[in-house]
Amino acid sequence: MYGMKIDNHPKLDRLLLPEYSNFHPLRKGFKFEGDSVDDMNRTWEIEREADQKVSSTVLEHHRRDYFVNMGPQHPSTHGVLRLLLHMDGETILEIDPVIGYAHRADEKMGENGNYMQFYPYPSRVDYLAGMIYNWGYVGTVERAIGIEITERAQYIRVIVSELQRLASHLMWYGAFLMDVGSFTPFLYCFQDREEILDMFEMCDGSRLTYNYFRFGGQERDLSPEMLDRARKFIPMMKSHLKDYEKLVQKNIIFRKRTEGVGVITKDMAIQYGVTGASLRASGFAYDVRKSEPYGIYNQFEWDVPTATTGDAYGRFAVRVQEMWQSLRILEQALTRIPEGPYNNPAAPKRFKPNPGEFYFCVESPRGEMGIYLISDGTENPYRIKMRTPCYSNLQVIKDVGRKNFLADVVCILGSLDIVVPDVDR
Amino acid sequence: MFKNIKEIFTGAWSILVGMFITFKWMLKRPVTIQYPKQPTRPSPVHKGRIRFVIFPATGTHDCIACLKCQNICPSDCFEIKGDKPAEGGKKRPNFFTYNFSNCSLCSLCIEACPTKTLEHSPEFNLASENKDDYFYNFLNDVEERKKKVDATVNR
Repeated sequence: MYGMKIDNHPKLDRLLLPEYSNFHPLRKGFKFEGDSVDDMNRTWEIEREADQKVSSTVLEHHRRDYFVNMGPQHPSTHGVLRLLLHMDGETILEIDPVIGYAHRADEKMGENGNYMQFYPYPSRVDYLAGMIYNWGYVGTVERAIGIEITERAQYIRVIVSELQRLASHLMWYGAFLMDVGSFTPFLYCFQDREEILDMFEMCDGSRLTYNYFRFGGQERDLSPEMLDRARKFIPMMKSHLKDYEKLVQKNIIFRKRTEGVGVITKDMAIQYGVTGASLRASGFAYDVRKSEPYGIYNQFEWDVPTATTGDAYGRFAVRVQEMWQSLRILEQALTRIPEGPYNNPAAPKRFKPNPGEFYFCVESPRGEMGIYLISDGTENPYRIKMRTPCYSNLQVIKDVGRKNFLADVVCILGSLDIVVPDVDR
Repeated sequence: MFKNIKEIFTGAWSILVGMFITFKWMLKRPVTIQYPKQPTRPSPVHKGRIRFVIFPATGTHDCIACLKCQNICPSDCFEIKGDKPAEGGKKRPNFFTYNFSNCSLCSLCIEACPTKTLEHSPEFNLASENKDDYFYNFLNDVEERKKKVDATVNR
């Protein structure tokens, strides 16, 4: 998008745009008209011809190896992700993830409006962790303008974030088990997730794409009914998690399917920038909430669960343990939540932050999510860059998936917990 | 050999445990709602489409066509034109449309409104096959809703 040239890059080509296009949309001064439109049409024709040539050459040679397109409409890629698999029989020789099917130019949209107008977009980047992404954006701007957050708002933020983490992990739990071939837990998990979404509807009004965070506080207060419901939800969720453990983690078919599959070593994970549960399953206890505490996370008692195996089962176990830790944080937050204002009335409606660079990161259910903001002293941000965890986590599949079977690729991809709009932005 | 037999038994036992849990859940009350037959109610703060508030004191909305909602909207949903009436007084809108298909329900317009005359409606079954159904003319919409309110009051 910027047209940067990197020395000694093994495969330097356009990431999202056609390979032959020579314009760079994220550069300042780019306008989508005239030359760039003609260029776009011309490049699509060139690409189509090139594709036809490639397919005809493969047919001519009758080689032993072949290519399989997994996606973009494959149900277990969890969205419009395309994996180009180079295969020999049932074994994978090479995996090439092709991204960009859900690209919506979220970063460019941030530059076009003012700071208020980017409110609803972060929760649409990762639609399973909307509340946490809201916090990521709001936290960045709060750091830029230096505004205080009331104590009740801090507690509300922790409560909704942990509920969101539970909802996201439950969704992943069901979908991953569906990928490896069991159907029943999917329905149970969705029942619990529905309860959380009902609670979010009581506090924000939306069920999936929230806009609940404001600079300096929240949109509205948590109602007492919602807090009661959350207090009742915790013991229910605990008993259900015990049931799921018996149902899934002791099941020998599931164990055989996931143990030893897709091992990510610690070095590999660090080199690729893998974060979140996938990194912690490799034995590296890195959690933004512990290492760089934001909000009031340092006031709660909880642990960072890790595993040492680094395989799909390790990632599964770490995420299940994370759900228990989220419940632990929720219990403490719900008992200690103070009365008081939920919003900072001194928060300005229109503002111009000082020129400079600001970074704020939160722990999303998938890893470290950060927003890097450049302000040039006007009402509009100069640049918003999102560091989304799935983009880094997906890259590791190139090394991990090699020499595995085709059925194991589904298992590895599921255990990495990819959300495709989060990859493409 | 011994390991294999042990594995078979543990596998069979794990499946039995799973069956027992499924059976336990089968006896619980179902959580599904038979939606079209069984009505559901959204939460009181549910975010439906945007609409005008009808104030009971005046019996109508209080829009002053200040265009604040139009300016703050991230996706350009509103199109508003307004004039000062000939008999004097506040500026009033004479054209006010809202495109629901662009709206992301972020409620920034509601917070920006100086006279608090915008709100989310509690409707939730707004799906339609016709794209024109998503264009709302707020002035007509208010008249229709006023008629409905009158009908229920007079009954």
